[in-house]
Amino acid sequence: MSLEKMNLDKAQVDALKELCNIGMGHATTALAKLVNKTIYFDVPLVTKSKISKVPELIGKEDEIVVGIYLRFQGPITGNILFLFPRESVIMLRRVITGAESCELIFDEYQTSLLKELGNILAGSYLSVMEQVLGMRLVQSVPWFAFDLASAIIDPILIQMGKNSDHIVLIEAEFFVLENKELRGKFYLLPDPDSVLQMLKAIGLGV
Amino acid sequence: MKKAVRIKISEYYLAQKSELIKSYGLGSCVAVVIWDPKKKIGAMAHILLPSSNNSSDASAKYASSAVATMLGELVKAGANQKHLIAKLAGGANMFPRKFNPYLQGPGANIGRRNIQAARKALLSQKIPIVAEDVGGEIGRTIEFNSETGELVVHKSNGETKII
Repeated sequence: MSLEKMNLDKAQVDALKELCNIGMGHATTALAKLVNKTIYFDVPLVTKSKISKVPELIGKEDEIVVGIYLRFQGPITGNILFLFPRESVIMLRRVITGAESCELIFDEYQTSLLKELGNILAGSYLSVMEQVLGMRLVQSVPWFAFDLASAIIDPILIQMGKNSDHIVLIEAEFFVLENKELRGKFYLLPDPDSVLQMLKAIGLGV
Repeated sequence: MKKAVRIKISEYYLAQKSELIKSYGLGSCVAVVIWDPKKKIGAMAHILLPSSNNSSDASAKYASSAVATMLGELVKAGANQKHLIAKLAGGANMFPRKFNPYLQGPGANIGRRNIQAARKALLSQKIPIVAEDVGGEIGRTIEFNSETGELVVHKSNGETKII
């Protein structure tokens, strides 16, 4: 069975959503400690999509955002991407470092700060996946980009497109309630074959 | 001038006279434009990968098949193969290691490989590349005008270039 030909049924979508729910619970708790604010997140979305449609699913065509990207490996492989609107990056820096500046500067310090944030969020998310799926996963170092969302996701889609025209996108938006300016989006893009392995590990394989 | 036709990843479009083709947010993907300056018809493809290692229904997913498909369509539409010229855009490295060039990110070479594959595919069809805006570390939104042959490249840092 390949991802190409199968459709995810309701039980499979629900299971992937629930996995994301638990993962996001852990990740947002980690973020909450860091920024000393309660972090909420929306109900996760699970979408099987053609690769060509992914750019329009993840952002506006002309919006420049910050992207933090990590790859994970183990019995399953895949990609984690965080996208932050520019105002959120300024807010994040303000709550973490106390910096008042509203200027967007991406020097070594700023990019390291954001990459480390991605590291912590991805790490706590993946630790949940490890427990639920019963597998050991290793995450890569984080990478930083500041560009159009569709351009940022391009190298990820290229990598995933080698063996498939379809992918499964698992996403959730997280935010601070009193200040919607602080928000970001989480994306989990398991490699196409790994989606099937994930489902198998939770007893919903085909 | 008609409204711009938008193409997505793995798609191509054949433009008749006075048409615009637009593609948003090219990162490491590469766009190939082939144009007949006499007939003023052209085609543009948004290519994902250099070459195929399995069969795929998306004819413009790979550089080699995209160039061959566009060439076939252009000739069928009345273009003269000898007059055809090509332009390229895209193929960026989206996750550069700015502060540690020794540790290159994933896909550091993906953009470059796409550029090379597009050049090779065009060379093998003897279509000269007259202009390029490729590589770098920046996303691009592009628009091709089949009347003038101009390819407008809007970079994500606000710069615009016509090639």
